[in-house]
Amino acid sequence: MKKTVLYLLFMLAMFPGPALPTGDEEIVIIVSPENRRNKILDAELKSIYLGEKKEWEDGKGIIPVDLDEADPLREKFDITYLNKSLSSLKYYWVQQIFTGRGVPPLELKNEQLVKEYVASHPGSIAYIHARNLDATIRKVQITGDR
Amino acid sequence: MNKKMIVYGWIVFMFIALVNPHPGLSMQVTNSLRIDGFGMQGYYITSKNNYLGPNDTQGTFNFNALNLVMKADVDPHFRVWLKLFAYSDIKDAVEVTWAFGEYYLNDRLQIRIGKVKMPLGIYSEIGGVYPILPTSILPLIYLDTANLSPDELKGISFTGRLNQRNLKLTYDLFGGRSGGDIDTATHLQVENLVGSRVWILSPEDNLKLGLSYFRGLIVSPQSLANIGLSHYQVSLEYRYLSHFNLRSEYALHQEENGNASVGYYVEMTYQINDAWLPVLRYDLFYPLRGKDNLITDYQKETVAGLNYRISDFLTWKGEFHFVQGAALLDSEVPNPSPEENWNIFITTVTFLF
Repeated sequence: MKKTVLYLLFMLAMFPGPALPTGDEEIVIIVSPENRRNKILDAELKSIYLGEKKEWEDGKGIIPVDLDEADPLREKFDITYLNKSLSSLKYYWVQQIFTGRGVPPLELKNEQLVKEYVASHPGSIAYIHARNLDATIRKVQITGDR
Repeated sequence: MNKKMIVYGWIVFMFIALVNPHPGLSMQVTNSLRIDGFGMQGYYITSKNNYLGPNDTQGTFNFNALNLVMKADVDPHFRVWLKLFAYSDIKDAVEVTWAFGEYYLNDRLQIRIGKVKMPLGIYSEIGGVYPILPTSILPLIYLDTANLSPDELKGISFTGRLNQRNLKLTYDLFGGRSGGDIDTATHLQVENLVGSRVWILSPEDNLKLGLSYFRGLIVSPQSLANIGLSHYQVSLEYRYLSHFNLRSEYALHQEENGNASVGYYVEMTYQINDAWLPVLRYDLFYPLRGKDNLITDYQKETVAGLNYRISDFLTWKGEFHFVQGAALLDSEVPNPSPEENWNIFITTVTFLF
């Protein structure tokens, strides 16, 4: 029995994992123009989107904003910056909700809605394609090892 | 709660799910009130011993649960959480799993007052959250019949997260007493309960080491004097490339009268793709450490299971438990002459909305 279990485990470990999304277009992290931050650590960004960090340095609440699950940029962001697949993030948030630890970020349908929301909510943070940047929102630089 | 109410509960759940425009997500009732829920219906059958009911060898659907979580943001620093849990295994029941007020001081410290799930090891808090459990039956050290720890705590807890260079640390400190009525409850009842759980995480969160501890006085309606206890638990969780997970825990439960229980398990899951997740577990438990003469002195299980995510909100699970020993049969279920080698098969469907 033990040999069978070990053999099965070995076979599972050899099996290729889920495919990662591709796409070269740059993601930019955006905040409200009222937000003073110019840079943000990638570990900090991850903590924000996992609900671990909830306040900016000035005490204002952080409102992370996600794109809809169906948007390809969402999956790219999750894997690039959060190092998690969509399914593992779902698992994470169900766990957080049903243990009373937290709820997932606000989800908006498209990048236009995201920009409008961030522009009107000083504590918010989000991500969009670089080509969609405009003066209503501000880009912050991501620093750190990634 | 009787079976009719469970049926009605399912009808209400299905109705909410159907009218919910985003199945698989929550219902944001207002800006400050959010409701999440899930349901589970299972079928299990045992080859020999009765496990949950009087006629397990013929199989039973008497294994289901409904859950609702409500979160209300009273102000930016204070929120109230409530979880209702209706279930039917040995008996039908509905309970408030937890209900607490949480004051958010900062990222390093949050204070919770009320009834909370015991923060202990990997599975104590998510024990009833079937959609995310790899198996419908938890590892042996978590079963009520193992009697190692209370299910919940009435009191106060402090929780938070500290980042130190390349390591992250999360903690829970708690004190109070376990909830419930000591005359009727089947869970372990403990007073003067104090304890802690610490998780140390690697920078990418792929390796987690957990240390849990609590002590207190076991309250028993049968005994005149309360018995002191200490519980130690070491937990390890390793994730490789977001699809391979290894979990292992060791628990030692000591009472001041010299009795000690011990158990451990190793569990592996592999996310083949978004839909399929197989699981394997080897699990062992001794109610009295060092005693294994009788078949009721130990229980060993090898578990092989499969999860299939039908959609974002619907998951099917099936699992075989190859069991040796009969230490954890419920005393409320008749087993006049337990068998040493037996099997459990369980299949469940969970629904998340």
